[in-house]
Amino acid sequence: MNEVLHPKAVAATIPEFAVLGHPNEGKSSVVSTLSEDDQIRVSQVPGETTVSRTYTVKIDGKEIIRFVDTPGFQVPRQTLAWFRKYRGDTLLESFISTFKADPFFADECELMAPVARGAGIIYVVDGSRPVRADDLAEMEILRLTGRPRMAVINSKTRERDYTEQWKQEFRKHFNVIRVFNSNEADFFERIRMLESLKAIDQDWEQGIEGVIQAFKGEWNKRNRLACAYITHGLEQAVGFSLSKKLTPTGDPVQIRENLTLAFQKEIRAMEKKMFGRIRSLFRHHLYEVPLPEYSILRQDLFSQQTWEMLGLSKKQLAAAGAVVGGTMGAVVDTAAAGMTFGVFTAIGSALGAGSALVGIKKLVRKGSRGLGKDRIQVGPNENIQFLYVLMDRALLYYTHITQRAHGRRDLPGPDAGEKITKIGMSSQLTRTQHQTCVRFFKTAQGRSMIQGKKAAPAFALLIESLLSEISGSLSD
Amino acid sequence: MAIHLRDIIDLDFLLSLDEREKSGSLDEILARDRDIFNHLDNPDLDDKGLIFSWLSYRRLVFFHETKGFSSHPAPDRTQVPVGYQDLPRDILPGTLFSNLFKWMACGLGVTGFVLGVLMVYSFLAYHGSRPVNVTVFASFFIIFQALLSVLACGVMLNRMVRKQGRTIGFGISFSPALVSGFFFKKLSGLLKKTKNMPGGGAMAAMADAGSLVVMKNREYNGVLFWPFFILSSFFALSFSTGALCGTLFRVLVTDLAFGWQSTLLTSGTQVHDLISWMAMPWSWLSSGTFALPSLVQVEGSRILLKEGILGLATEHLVSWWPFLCMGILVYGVMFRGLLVLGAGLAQRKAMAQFDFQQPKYKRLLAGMTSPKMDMDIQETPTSQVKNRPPLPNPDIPCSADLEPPHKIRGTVLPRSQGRALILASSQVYQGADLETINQIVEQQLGVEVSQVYPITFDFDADQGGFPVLASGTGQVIVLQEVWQPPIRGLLHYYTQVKNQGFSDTPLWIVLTQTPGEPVLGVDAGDVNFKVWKKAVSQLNDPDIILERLYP
Repeated sequence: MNEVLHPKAVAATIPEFAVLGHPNEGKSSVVSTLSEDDQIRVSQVPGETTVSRTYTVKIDGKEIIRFVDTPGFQVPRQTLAWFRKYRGDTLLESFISTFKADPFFADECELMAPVARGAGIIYVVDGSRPVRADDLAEMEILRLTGRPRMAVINSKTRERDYTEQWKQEFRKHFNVIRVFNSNEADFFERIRMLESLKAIDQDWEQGIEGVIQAFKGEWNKRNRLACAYITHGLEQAVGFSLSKKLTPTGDPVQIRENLTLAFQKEIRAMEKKMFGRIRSLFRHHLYEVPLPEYSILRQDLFSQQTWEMLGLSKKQLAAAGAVVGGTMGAVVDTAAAGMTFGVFTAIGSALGAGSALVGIKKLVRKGSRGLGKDRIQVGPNENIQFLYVLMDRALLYYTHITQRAHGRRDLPGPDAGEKITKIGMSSQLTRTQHQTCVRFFKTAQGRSMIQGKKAAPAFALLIESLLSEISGSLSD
Repeated sequence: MAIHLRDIIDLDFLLSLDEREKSGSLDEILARDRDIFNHLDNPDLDDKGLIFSWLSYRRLVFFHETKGFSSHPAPDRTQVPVGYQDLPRDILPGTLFSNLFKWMACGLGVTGFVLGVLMVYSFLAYHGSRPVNVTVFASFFIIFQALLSVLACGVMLNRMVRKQGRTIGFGISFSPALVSGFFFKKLSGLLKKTKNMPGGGAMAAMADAGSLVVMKNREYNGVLFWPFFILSSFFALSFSTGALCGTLFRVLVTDLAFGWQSTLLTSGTQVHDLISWMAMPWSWLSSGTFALPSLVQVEGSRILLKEGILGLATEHLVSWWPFLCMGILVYGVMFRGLLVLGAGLAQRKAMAQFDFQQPKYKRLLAGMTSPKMDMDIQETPTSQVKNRPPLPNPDIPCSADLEPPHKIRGTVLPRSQGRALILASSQVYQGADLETINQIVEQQLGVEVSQVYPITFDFDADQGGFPVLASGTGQVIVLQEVWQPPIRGLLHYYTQVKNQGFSDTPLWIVLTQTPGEPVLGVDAGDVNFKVWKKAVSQLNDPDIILERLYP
């Protein structure tokens, strides 16, 4: 059971960090990354934040860390002048009590309040602009507060880079400096920032280490859930079928065409739902996360390009079928279907999009079965390439989502510098992994002649290992 | 922990409710599952225990919420917990299935029994002229039942050995499809027709249970087979029991005569051998003759139509009934009883081996056992000032846009004629860049730059030279980097310069890019320029004029 802590006790033990800086430097982006909430308003217009907002991260209802997004400095020189004149032991408290009713110092009172109550300081600057006198004033103000502090250089653009200039100045005022790109910051950048925060005050080391462990645990949990969603989604899609009764007046060809279209629509819906779950898991709450311009995920699931770029090659398909094909006729069918499409894939580019469409339809028809004389059934798709394509798309989407920064601003166009996503992980699987896929495929289709109980867990393990591999590659 | 099929069905149903939810409510679902885990008395349960604890809690909540919901529809649908929207029902499909199963078992039991009695009654019709044909009776009530039982036994053994495998027919097992088709489609159709429809909730639950049986047969193949197998075997058991009771009753209260006949010249010895073989399971009870007609009795009960039955001994004609009763008991009742028992055990085993490693259960377990991370957001205002001058937002039309264009557009102004003083930060504007800017300013504003005075944007430090500079200056121009936000301190500085340094002279704020960059001019669409326009307009001083250096 969760122990209930007294608020004062909580305040005394929970690490709290105020994110300070000049207006429009990316403070909200840093908070968004640290708190992992893309709903924090990140604007290109300076001065959007006028009131401090405290983001308290909780584990099972227990507060573990707080980040305070503050308004930007508005009158740094005047504030510094007052600080320098002040003689006493309660600098910040006196400042706030003196000016809390003064509109001129309103923003400074707001941003100093969390520091006054003991928060550490994360000072954020825009690395794409040079250091100016106001910045020096702000740094001096922060130094005078005497609070533990870290400087973060937010490299928002690559056109101009004054990082070295900033670092030079920061070395005089801060003991920890981090360079951070709000457009690319992912989970691992978050962890690295927290690791840096540990160094700014020994008293917080243990607390922040606990937070880091909690975040890592949360990440593992998301991966496990993502794995379950992907496995479940693939299981549903691979085993899905539609059937319709034939009427004396109905055209069987037309019914089959309609069923095929409906089948594809349903599969797309399943995939969309699976993607939505993954997106939600990784706390991207925006309705649509824009995909990179070059991403294959922008292509339709049943498009020629998708099937050309994802899944297995002809040779791999044949091998995948042969993994367990020696004793099972069903696998021979699978391999044959795969090879058919493999041949199609090879000549697809030459024949053009029209041929591609025919090929896909053919593929889907492969799964059509007649149910007696009066029913037509489409699916389950018997081509194992279907599983590989779906799997590749799910893994690509996962890669995209886990890379996407929470504090990312809307960029005007495609970001050429974005990390290149892997395409077609399935083509890199080992023979044993292919064997696992084939077993899962057959079990999900309900035509397994082998013990199928272990097929889904084994496939889930494979997916989990692939997700870990992707996560690992992101952290490099 | 005993698992029942109703649990599996309810589990599937409640999990599918979560599945139907939109992605946005995923957090809510995970939080709920974690909350259930946190409230467990013993969180150290194994996976199965955790899943069933979850099920118990969800059942409780389901009944609590949906009962009240169905009888008193809540005005605010948003108050209904996750997954319960549009579910005005008070019964879960698993419970309904379980109830239906019991009713089905009772119904089939009674029907089978009555059918058995009636059929036996009609078979044993004896009016003194022609004895009951033992061959026909035994064929139907013993041999046929035994064959059916053997067939059922074969199916059962096949299931037990194979456990999970290819489904019969077109991806759906025959018997579940047949029985579920009847009970979940035909039965509901009949109920509708007879106006004996249960509540909407029960109907919905019936539909859910039916869809699980039909649609997810592949997934639940291992556990759905047995209930329907048990039902069909139970029906056969009841039928045979009815037949046995009916036979005994007939024997008890009526005068019966049994005989056998055959067109083929089958000898009594062959028939005796056959029935001896059939009676093996029980005949050993009394030195091989228990409930087994002797060879003499067999031969004595052969009917030849042309000779009639008058010549046959009554002792021989009545010697068959113990054999027939024992045949029904052993091959009809006991064999079927064993099948029902075996199927019951097989079902229990299948339930015990139910695969809780499926992704959906893994997902549930991950949600339950992992700490829930969430975030609380609070606005914590410190300043008591409510009407703080807002910072400019370029998206909102500002008064500056309504000003005459010459104030902000940088056209050459009549009063700009003359000498101009440029105030520029010595840290920023130096050397060739400053020269370039000066030239552009002269061309753009039609002034002659007479002097460049270095400033620090600290009025106290800069104001010393202002009185001297003010005399003889037509225009005062301050160079300002456009990307710097027009913070209150900066605007305050400009106001001080204008009001306290150059009160008789207009103050031009000319925005530039940072010196050293390829282009020093500022584009008209630059968002920072818009921000500055808004900010300067809010100063509400017509003599402080904003201008941008043209690219």
